[in-house]
Amino acid sequence: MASTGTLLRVEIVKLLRRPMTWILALIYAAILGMLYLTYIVLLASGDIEGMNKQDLKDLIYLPDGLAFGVSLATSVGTMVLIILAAGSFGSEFNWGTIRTMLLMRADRTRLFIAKFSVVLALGLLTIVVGTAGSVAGAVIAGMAGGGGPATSEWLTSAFVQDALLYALRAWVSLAIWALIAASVAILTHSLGVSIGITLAAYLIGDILTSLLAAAGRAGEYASRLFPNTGINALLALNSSDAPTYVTTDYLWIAANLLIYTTLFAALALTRFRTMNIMAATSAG
Amino acid sequence: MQAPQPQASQVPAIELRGLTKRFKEFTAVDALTFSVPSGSIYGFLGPNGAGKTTTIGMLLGLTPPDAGSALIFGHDSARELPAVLARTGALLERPSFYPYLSGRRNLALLARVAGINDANVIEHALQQVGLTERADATFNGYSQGMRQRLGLAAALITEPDLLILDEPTNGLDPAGQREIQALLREIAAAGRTVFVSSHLLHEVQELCSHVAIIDHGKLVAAGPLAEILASGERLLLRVDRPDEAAALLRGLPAVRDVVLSDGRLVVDAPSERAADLNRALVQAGFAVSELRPREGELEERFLALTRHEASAEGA
Repeated sequence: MASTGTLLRVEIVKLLRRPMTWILALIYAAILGMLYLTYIVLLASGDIEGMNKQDLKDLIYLPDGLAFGVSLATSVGTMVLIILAAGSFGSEFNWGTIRTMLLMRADRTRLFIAKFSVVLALGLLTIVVGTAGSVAGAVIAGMAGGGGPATSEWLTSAFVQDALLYALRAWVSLAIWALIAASVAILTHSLGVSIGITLAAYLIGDILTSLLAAAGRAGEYASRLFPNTGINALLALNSSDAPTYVTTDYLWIAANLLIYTTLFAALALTRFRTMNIMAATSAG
Repeated sequence: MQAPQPQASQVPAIELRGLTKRFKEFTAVDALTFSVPSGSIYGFLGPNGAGKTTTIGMLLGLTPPDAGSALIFGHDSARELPAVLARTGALLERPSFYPYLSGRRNLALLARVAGINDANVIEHALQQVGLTERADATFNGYSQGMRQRLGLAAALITEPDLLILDEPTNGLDPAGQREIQALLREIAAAGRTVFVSSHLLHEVQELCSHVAIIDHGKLVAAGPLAEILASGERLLLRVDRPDEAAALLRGLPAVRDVVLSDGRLVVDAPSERAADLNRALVQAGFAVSELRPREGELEERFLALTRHEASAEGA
């Protein structure tokens, strides 16, 4: 019976050799790069029609630009990780390779842990690269815009602490969406359905919960039943003008995130351990 | 202290005890009970949808049974899966591998999962199935026959005591089929057990020492192939005016059925009554030019057994 460490190594090899991983990495880098390139070009050019150049500088330049950069990395990174997490589980059903892995004595629980650990590690890498990239982008934008704040003005221990906290919150957010994508892939045995449902929950859920929250007190409470509200409340702290939460706010945010994490982890693991693999891969 | 392990030869390689699987109202496998002797090549037959793949899924711990048990070398597939898989290699219908990896890399990855770090094992398995030359091509570009060979190689890398194969020669040309059949004989000659599900009845008849036939999830026959074929033995009779002779024979108490085939009569009657039949025909003025027992064909037995079950169910 293969150890979790062996399965982890196997999952890393599968992920690194898979073309989809590199295509998504390229898309992620390209979107973030293109956005910063656009800002750099705008700052380097003369007047910007219909836009206050100072507002753009405030948005991009460090240290406040860190929040904007992490927010960009989180938004794009979430979509990338949803596809990767759905792919890690869903493709095994689509190709039927889950049967082959299990026949080679891979324990189902260990396989689930190995697969999801690799997705979590990839989520962390996504955020670290995104954060580092946005800091680099902001520095280059500062130079292009005729001199941003000097390094000594923003590269302080408080900035590093903020960057770590922002990255941690972003990672928690990515991890929950990845868990939802993996669970849906396991429950539906389908890569396509998992990507569709999870992206819809991520994108449409945000709109729906915003509408609910705007519909008065009852709507606001109702919106807290969705994972989007808990995740967005957590990410709202990744800002230079973060909301001031009281204890009850932290409690409902923690409860929301914990309940959804436990629910999806339990659903996914229980189903993965007991499912009829022959039936789940019959279309493959 | 560990309990003494029974000798492999004393324990059946596979033992099914009332194995049952239901999908809502539909019973896919219905109280299946039979055993596969160690060292045999055992054919597992049934029409499409008879429950063969579901049974194999339960044997390998991929499908949870609703009742009964599937034991492999005495270990329950549902409760002692690691012990079961430690001695079992399997090729399922439509072998599944990572499409973006080469055959060799797929095997290396699976070998690592199975705890095998010796590259020679992979090379040997590739050589056994005749895939060495194309081992570095990606699985995506493999033909059905090559996929089948890679599936067999994956089943062989753990050097299992029991091979469970679902349609192993699917997609192979006749030469490829013969190669794989020879390999399976070689494996069985080394004392290992081969449990093979196939729809190619002539292949099963050539290859297997035992067979089990299922239909609608139920066992309709199981045992040594020779016994199953003997139960389908017929008398072959060449006579003038065969239509009239058939009518006469059908009136005799020993005769269960008479079929006219290629100008000859195939008579379903005990072979020890051949002299009685001959006497009756000669006394009635027929000229009998040939009368001999004919060994049953597996295809004929299979069709008779599964058709009988189907008509009994329809009645």
